[in-house]
Formats: sequence, C-alpha cells, structure tokens
Amino acid sequence: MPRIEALDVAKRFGRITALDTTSLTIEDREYVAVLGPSGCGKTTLIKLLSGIWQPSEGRILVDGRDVTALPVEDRDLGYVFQNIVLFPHMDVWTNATYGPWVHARHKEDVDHVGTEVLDLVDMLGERGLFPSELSTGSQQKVALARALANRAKLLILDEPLSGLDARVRLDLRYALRRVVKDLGLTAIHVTHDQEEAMSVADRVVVMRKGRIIESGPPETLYDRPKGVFTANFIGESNFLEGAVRRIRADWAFVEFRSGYILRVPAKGLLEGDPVVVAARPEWIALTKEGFGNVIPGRVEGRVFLGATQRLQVRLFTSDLVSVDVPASQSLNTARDVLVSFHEANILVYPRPYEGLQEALKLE
Amino acid sequence: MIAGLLDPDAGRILLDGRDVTRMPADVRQAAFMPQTYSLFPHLTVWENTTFSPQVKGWSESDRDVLAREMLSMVHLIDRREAFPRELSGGMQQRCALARALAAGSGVLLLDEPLRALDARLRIELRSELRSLIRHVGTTAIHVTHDQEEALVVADRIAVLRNGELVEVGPAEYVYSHPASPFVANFLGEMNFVEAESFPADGGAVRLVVGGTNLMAPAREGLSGRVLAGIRAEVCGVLPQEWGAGQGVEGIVKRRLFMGRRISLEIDVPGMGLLKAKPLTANARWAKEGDAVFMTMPAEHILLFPVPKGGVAAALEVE
Repeated sequence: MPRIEALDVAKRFGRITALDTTSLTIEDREYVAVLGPSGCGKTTLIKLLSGIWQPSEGRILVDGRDVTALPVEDRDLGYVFQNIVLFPHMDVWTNATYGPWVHARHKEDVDHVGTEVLDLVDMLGERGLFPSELSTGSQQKVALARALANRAKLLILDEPLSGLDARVRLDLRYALRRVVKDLGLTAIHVTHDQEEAMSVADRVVVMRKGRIIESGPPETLYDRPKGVFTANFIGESNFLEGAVRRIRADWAFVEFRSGYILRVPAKGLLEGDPVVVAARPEWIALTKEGFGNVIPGRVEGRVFLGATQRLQVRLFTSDLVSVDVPASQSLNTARDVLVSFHEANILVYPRPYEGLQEALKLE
Repeated sequence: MIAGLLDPDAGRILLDGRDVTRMPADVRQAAFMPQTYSLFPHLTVWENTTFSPQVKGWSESDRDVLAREMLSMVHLIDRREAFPRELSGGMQQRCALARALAAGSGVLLLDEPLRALDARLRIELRSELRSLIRHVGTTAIHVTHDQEEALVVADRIAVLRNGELVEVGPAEYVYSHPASPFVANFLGEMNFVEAESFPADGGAVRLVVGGTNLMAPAREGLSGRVLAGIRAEVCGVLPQEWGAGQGVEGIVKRRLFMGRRISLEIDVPGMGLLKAKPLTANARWAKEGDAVFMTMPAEHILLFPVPKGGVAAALEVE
C-alpha cells in the first residue's frame, strides 16, 4: 500500500541543478504521470523516487518510512523502461517469471504468478514464443508482466511507450491503466507525450526546468490550466496580450492592440493589469454576428486536419490565431471573418514578467 | 534512390527532365537531411551552413550572403557562433535545414526530420517547417510515419505499403477518397463492418448491418456485400434518449480523455466494438457503462469491396 512522499528533494551535479527543491506526494493506488519537455527533470525525479539515485537534499518516504538511503534493489517496486529489456534466449514465460524464479519461490507459486501476469497483459497465448518472434508492442507487454510478477505494489514506468509505433501506443495506454487499476497499484509514469499522460493518469504533474509547475487531474489541466506554460504545453493555445481597461460588476474589459476589446470574467483582476488571454483553437469560432465577444480578422492560411480544418487568422490586433472549424464548413471567398471568443472558454493570466515567449518556451 | 544513395535495380530518376539515375549523390541537386541531422560537432552554426558552398568553391562574399539569408530564414542568425551541442533539438533541426538549403539544391529530402523531438515540440515545428519550405519555394519530399504530420506539412501525400505505392494525392483527397481500407485506416482510425447494400434514391445506398439500416453515398461498380467504413473522429455520441439522425445504439466500454478529443469504445449489438473520437466539449458527459447513441453521418461512410483475405489482413501494417 505505497504512499510516496518526496520532501524537499533536490539533485545537483556540481553547479548544475537537475531537480530543484521539490515536494510531491503520491497517494496509495494513484496513477500519476510526470510530464515535461526534455531536460525538465522528470527522469531525475523518478530516479530519486525509485532509489536509483540519491537526492542531494531532502527525504523520500514510503508509507511514512524514510527510504532515502535504501538502494533500488532493496525497494519493493517494478520498473518498466523505454528500452525493452528482455532476455533474448528465454521465451515469454521464462522472461515473465524470472523474478519469482530467482527468488526461489515454489513451482506452483511461480506457475500461478506467471499465468496471472501474462493473462493480465493478454500474452498467455504467446507464452512459448521468443522476444524476436514478437512485435515491439508485445515485447513491452512481456516487460510489463515481468515487472508485475514481483508482486510489487509500486510500478515505475519510464517512457514505457515511447519506443513503440503510434497505433500500438494507443492500445497499450489502456492496457497499462487497466492493469494498474485492477491490481490496485501505485504507478508513476514518466512521459513527454501530453496525450499519453492525460489518457493514462489520475493526475498529471507538469515539470519544467527542474521544477514542478502544476499538477492536477487531466481534464482540469486541459480546461483550466493554472499557468500559460501548461496552457500551451498540454494541447495548443492562442495567446493575446492586452491590459484590463475597466471592470464592471463581474466583467473585466481587456483591451488589445488597435483598441479591440474582449469581455472576460473579472475574478482576481484589477484595472490596469497587463494580462494574457488564452483560448484553444477548438474553443473559438467564426461567427456572422457583428456583436458580442468578437475580433475581426483575415484568413491567411488553412491546414487540413481530417475531421477539422485549422484556419490561421490574422486578427486586426495583428495577432495570428488558429481556429479549428469543421472540415465541412466552407469559407466564402471574402476572407474577412469575425472570430468569436466565448466568455466561458477564455483563460486569463497575468502577463509573465519574463515575457510571453520566454514563458512558453519548450526547450 | 532520389538522393542517389542507392541505385535502382530498374527504372530511371529525372530531375527537371534530366536523367540522374547514374549520377552520384554529391553532384545531384538534391539535399538529404537525415533524422539525426548529422551536423559537424566541431563547426559552428555558421560554418556548418557554409560548408557546402565552400566545398563547391563559392567566393567568401557569396557564401556570406547566402548563409546570412538562410540563417535569418530559420531564425538562427543570432546563434551563428554556437556549436551544435549548445543548441536545443529544435535549433539543431533548423541548422540542418539551413545547411541543406544552402547546398543550393532544387530538391530537399527530409527523412523523419521531427522524429528525434519531444511530442509537443514536434507539433510546433511541423507548422514552422511547412511555412519555411513554402517561403523558400523549394520542392520537398518528407518521409514520415506520422499521419497527422503528413496531413499538416504536405501538398500531396504518397502512401507506401510493403514497398508499393498504394495511393498518391492531395491530403484532403486521399483522406476522403481512400483507394483501399488500408489507406483509409492509415490516415485516421476507422470502424469497418461488412454490410449488405441496396440501391436507394439520389445516388445513395441503403446498408443493412446487424439489423440496422444506414444510408451511405453509393460507389460505382459496388453492390451486394460490401465493406463499410467510417472514421472514429467523425462519429459523435448523444445520450441514448436524445438519439437523432443516423446512428446506432450501444454501451460505452472504454473512455480515454485525450485533451481536444475523447476516445470512446462503444459496444454495439450486431456490430461489435466501434470507436468514436468526438471533441471533448461534445462528449465530456459520456462515461464507461453509459448507454449512448453513436452518430454516423451518411456522407462520411466509405464503401469498399470486401477484402478477400479478411479485414484484419487488409489493414496490417507490417
């Protein structure tokens, strides 16, 4: 029943800080995804949590017990890596039951565990095959079965799907989540793929530059991200820079370049505040109505995305925004359009002191 | 073979009408940009970019003008003194692109140019790549395994399978008129069911599948037993009691939140597990176990001959 706590942990290599002072609690049976761009410190964080590395500062508790100095081999956890590590000369069954076998469990025990874990990942039928006879997706399933066979209650997944084909990845996402939930495990899954993080986890932890910048349930992070970086990193967003001109009752009126104004919820805003207004491409629309929360613009480009098309619209504020409309929506030849920003689908942030571009940077 | 790195066993390759089949790679007007970028680690951004013009014996002033132009275009002019290891992955890619462009070739060959990058950065850079190449006005051939990337960057898509070109055309055309179930499925997850088709009015057919009637656009030369397909992303869901329009009833078995869209697997009696990927705003309410009406707009239903070896084999990638 592992509840994991990282208390003020940090990892420094000389003058380089891989992970700045960080605290994170992972509840028992929680599936947490740690998400961030390359070099954000996410790999460092799980190496500390799993005991592969020792933190330079801080402590790590498992169920209240201090395990900071306990090496990885003495911890009760299963580990799945991006690079699939199977013994090539052993068949699926022997690979999966390797752990219990090494621990000299009874044969019935080993048989029982092997059957159970291979059944969980849907590979029981392939028990006699060798890794070279399996697709990479199936190989990773066997690696997962092997990690589960140790009966550890904590599962560490280090980019487990990154080496796989796009389609296989989708199937395995569901398999991972199902196995973790069925067995009541605590799972920590590191990935750079936003969609993957959102679809597997109960909670997503977003990291950047060696720090955790926010965490929350996937739908909350997508719908109401707390900061501009997350708004851009998880899904895409359009950003408009403006300033609060006036506040009337529950509404703030934000003015953009060339004097265009949008009405937004006033919560937490003061007149004169420099702000950034964010809206996802699927949250804004083209309208024929010349009133309400609209800004005029001109269509500069169009990208076919399958069921939808993405229009690049140069607003008269001179900002370029992406607007997703149904692929079936035809545009009249006049390319002047009105872009409608619905109040309920607008996010407002204080303008970052380091500048918007810097605050959004992915690397 | 287009780059000249491999010789064809048969056939010819023409560049601007000129036969280059036996011409070695280094004298062809085709610049190859590999996945790994292959920048010279000991040369700066500037030196990497001017490498090819220098080898070709360009004068220093011509080289400077060219390099300046190319590096401005890829927004790296401020980092011209940096070495590759000091650059981010995205910058290295842009530097490799500048170098390829500075080689002055008529054709740019991009082999999975975004593969080494993080998922989010890839999305950002693919749009940038498209506008850059448009701006330069060069011909580009971009190899990718990512369907969405192909749709976004290209004017035209060529789908290859088992060493064979199975369809070529503008992205929108290939997406809406796929030549085979394989192409259809490759450009976006499909649902397939076998159905009996009967002629109907107005260029339509009536499909009967598992006791349900569905209308679909007719396809010339196709009648009787057919394979009907519809993309997951054009299928929506409604609460079952609101069911309206064309569709089928079922129970949600799986739900995965993916951000912009929600991926649902719906168990439909008589048809099996079908997939729908509606926009999140339209389907947020749907939970596992819910009884839903899955909409299937008639205009999006595609018809194919029933594949002889079965549907699964017709879709197999490897």
